[in-house]
Amino acid sequence: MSEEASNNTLLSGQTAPECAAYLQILDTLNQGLAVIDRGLRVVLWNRWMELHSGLERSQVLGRVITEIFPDLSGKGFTWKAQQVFKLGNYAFFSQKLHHYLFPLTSVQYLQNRFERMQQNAVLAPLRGPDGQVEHVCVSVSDATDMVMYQERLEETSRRLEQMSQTDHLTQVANRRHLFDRLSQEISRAQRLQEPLSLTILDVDHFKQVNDTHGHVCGDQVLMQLATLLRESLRRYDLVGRYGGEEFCLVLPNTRLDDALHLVDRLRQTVSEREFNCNGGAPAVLRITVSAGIASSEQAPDASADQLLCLADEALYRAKTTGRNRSEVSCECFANTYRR
Amino acid sequence: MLKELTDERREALQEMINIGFGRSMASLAELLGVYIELSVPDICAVEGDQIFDLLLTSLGVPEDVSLVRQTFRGQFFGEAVLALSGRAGRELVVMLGEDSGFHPSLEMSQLEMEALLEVGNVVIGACLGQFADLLETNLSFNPPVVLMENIHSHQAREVLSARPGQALMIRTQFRVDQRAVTGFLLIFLPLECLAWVYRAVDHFVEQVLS
Repeated sequence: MSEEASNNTLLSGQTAPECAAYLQILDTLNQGLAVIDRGLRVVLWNRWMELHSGLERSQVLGRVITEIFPDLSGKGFTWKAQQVFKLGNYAFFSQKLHHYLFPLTSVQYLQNRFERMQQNAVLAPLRGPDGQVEHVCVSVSDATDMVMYQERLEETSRRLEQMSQTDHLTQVANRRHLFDRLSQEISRAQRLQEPLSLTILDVDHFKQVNDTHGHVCGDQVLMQLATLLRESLRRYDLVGRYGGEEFCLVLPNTRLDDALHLVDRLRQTVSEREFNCNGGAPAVLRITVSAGIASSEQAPDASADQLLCLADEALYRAKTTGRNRSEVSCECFANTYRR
Repeated sequence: MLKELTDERREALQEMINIGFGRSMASLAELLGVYIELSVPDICAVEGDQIFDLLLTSLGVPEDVSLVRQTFRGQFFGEAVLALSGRAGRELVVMLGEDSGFHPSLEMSQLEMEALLEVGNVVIGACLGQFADLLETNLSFNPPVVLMENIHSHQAREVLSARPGQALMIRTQFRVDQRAVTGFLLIFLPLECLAWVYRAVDHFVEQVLS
């Protein structure tokens, strides 16, 4: 230690016992400390650095730090050290961007997937008696634990967000998410002056499915129908469960005519599909759906609520005029939403 | 405390910050490879809840904004914000290049963040460091925080909302020569440290006059 102190000007002006005391204190820190001079030569290396790098003081003192750790150059270390010497400011290496500064082996054995210790590092100026920056102090802290916690937190929050947007039974968007997305898509369509179509789709005589085959079977039909709808649409269309056996399709950049074609094709596919129930008494059944379609072409200024009303009115007509059919919302209603 | 911001003190402060900017210019140019242009600052009192709207009007209400926020402490303390219009990070990545550790292997959004952090840190550190030097003191800096967001987002407003109460705001226009990077450097000094700042400014003026 005394050799280290006498080898550089860092602790000049201090008595030997003082130096020894300061250096002992630095050795107790649960943090890496390395001090470099203007030539990037190491003049101080605390015990934490020794333990984690496997390099003793005698192996590093007086050597250029970027030669001991060639990786440092690639991380812009020299550039940042120059900043600190020139400007006297602080420079940072954040774990988020660099993961680590020194290639140190992570000592954490349990609950750790990192080979290298994750680090945050700070480069700070050390000034001489005349106020000039003569040395840069590099302090390193182990951020591995923090990163693990943060990742777990992010994962949990992602899962919660997804859960809060998904209908538990059918795994398509729930009513709230459907409404949020519809509102967003309407604003987007208005901004870009693109058409947007909305369809409400309702299973015909669904009560009979439940009454005849039981609710478990009814649930299975809804799940299979939801999957079919999701797989039939484009990536940027949205399927959501609007109510019990009602689904909504949000179709961005789709004209009313095209929406009508698409929905008719979907209706056909549904009517030809066999739905399998395997709870209780196994059964194969067929269903049909009715659909009401509304489009922003008819009501360019309509809100999400208003567009849903228009589609609902069309659905009502599809139901009352025989079911297994699609109806387009009536111009006369749509007109009430024109400015 | 803001009442004590007399015209003389305001002018002196303006001048000192301007000198500080001038002194950091050469080092910044050497480190960043470009000239940073900073206008003569204006100094005024602001309320914590005005800051966001003030910035919005300063920047001319762009869609996207890139913010770097950094706290500093010493005999005076506060917070600095570099607020740039649009996705300034992309331009800065090109500007900084590989010497500064900008490898094409990193994802673009990461590079953008890194470039913003670097430029924000170095500009804020240099300007405030030189200003502190004139006040015969040194500052310590916390790691900067970066935000690239739509200006109308909840997060942008949250980052720029201060606790209630007044602060002294030093606002400077920021421009990178020959690059499409423009914005503002804002420095906020809370009331608690103004007594010390005024004393140091008065001391500086006395020395200059004597």
